[in-house]
Amino acid sequence: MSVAARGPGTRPIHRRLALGVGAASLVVVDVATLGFITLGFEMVASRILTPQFGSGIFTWATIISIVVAGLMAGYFLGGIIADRYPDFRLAALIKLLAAGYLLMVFVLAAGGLESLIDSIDGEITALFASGMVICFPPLIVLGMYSPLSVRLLLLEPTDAGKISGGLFAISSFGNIVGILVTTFVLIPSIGTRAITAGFAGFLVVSGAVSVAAAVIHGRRNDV
Amino acid sequence: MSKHGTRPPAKKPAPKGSSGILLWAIPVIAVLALGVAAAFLVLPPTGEEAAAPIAADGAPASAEPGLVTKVESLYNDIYLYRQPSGNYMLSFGAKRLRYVESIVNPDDELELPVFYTQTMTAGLAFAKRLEDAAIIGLGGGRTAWYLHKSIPDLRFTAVELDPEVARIADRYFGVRQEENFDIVIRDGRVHLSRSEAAFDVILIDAYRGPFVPFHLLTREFYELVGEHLKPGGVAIQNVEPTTMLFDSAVSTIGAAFDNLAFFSGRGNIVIVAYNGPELDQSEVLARARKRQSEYDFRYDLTEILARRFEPEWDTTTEPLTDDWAPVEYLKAVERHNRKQS
Repeated sequence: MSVAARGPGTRPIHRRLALGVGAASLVVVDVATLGFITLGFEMVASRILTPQFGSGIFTWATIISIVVAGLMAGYFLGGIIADRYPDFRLAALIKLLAAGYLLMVFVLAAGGLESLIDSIDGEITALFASGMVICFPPLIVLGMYSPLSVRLLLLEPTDAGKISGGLFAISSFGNIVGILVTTFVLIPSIGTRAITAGFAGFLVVSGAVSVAAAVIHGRRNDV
Repeated sequence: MSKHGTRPPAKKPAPKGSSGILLWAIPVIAVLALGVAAAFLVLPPTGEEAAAPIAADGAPASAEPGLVTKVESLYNDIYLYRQPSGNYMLSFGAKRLRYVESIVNPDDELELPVFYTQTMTAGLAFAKRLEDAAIIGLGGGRTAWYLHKSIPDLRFTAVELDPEVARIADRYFGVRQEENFDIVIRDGRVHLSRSEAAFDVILIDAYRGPFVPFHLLTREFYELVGEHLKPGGVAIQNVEPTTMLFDSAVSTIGAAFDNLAFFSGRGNIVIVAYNGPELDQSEVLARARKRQSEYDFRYDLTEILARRFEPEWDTTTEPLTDDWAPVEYLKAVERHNRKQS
């Protein structure tokens, strides 16, 4: 069938993307899995902070606000950078940075955080400071992937609503699964530090896949 | 930047760009992969973290003196220490919030090393009968086990939210399910509201580290407790004044019960609450004498009654309700006030 002969509106949506089906699927999987990790990690962060500050509503307000602040910064920066480097190299960089930071959180959770908290006077200040250290950087990085995913897939401006809406929905689906699986399955079975290391490990593998995609995609663009 | 469609020419030659990524990506991935592998290697095998080995003389072998075990449960970070005296100390939370839940002498199940747990028994002199009792918040199980062992016929139900706490009480303190001692793993309020059982004594000692879960200190909760008391039954509440503001506690429990009696627990205050006509002191003392001779309590009930006192409180304080229970805020206010004084 002669796809080129038809107008953009009559081709199926997966033919109207800036990427082939394989690469587009990778982006979709990334959006879902990073969504999983983003809010799964929020639950992990709560487990890191509640022993120090209790599980009261102050702790939760701090965690939620810092997570959303991280995403806010990530969306904003990610949008700017994605327009400049709209390819899988940025995806790889995002994942590997997040993996590296999660490893640092893993190390901090072994005791470094406690010494940081002890050095700060004032309960609420200490709560916000440790929340910033644990949640903010990884959430910036994870937030950056959302605008990048739209930038990677979007070809026709008339599809912007469908594509961005679909990606946001997939991301939110990943969020939901991430919260539920982390809270009901992972925290009771393997504990917060193993989850943090596991998320980091997954991001390393996923980052390697993005590197491979960048290499293959680069080659394809040469042809 | 480049417009859509003009992107390839604007970019550097693709082959260089695509292999260029490998120059940084491969070392970065290798380092991170090693880090993840190392992370999993240092992790303890299960939920229970590798405890610092304790030498035979009790000398700790790690930086955490006396740490026997640390368990991360769904609700708490539980630390169990062995003190130089040989007693176990159960605490929740890390460093800043490390909060002693229980002290246990493993060689003497009737010892109550924490003063207020002795005071908790004061309510036994107020209850009309001693047939059925329950505690909300098992913790180390001191008070519950003391009552169970002192009054063998008492049918005792211990309600504990955290299965890991119950597991530690079983493994290290010998507190376990047996005849006339039932352990229910459930939220105390949820259990009461789904249960038809009625008790002569309900003890309430549900703390999560330094916090009382807010749904266990509202008027609705205490009304629920009252509904599960038999006629002549009593509720006994441990109040840690720094966590549950005393004025609010009195106001809230007072909103649900006709009579309150206060007992000193060295820092903690034990409130005995019951409905119906107020018992006069001689009646209470008579019951205490009778029960003391019947059960031969280690901590003489008549002496415990001497810990009674009449505190002062702000009678204008609003009771806490399910709708309005700013417990974290109260704690902050209290702390602030203490700093000012």
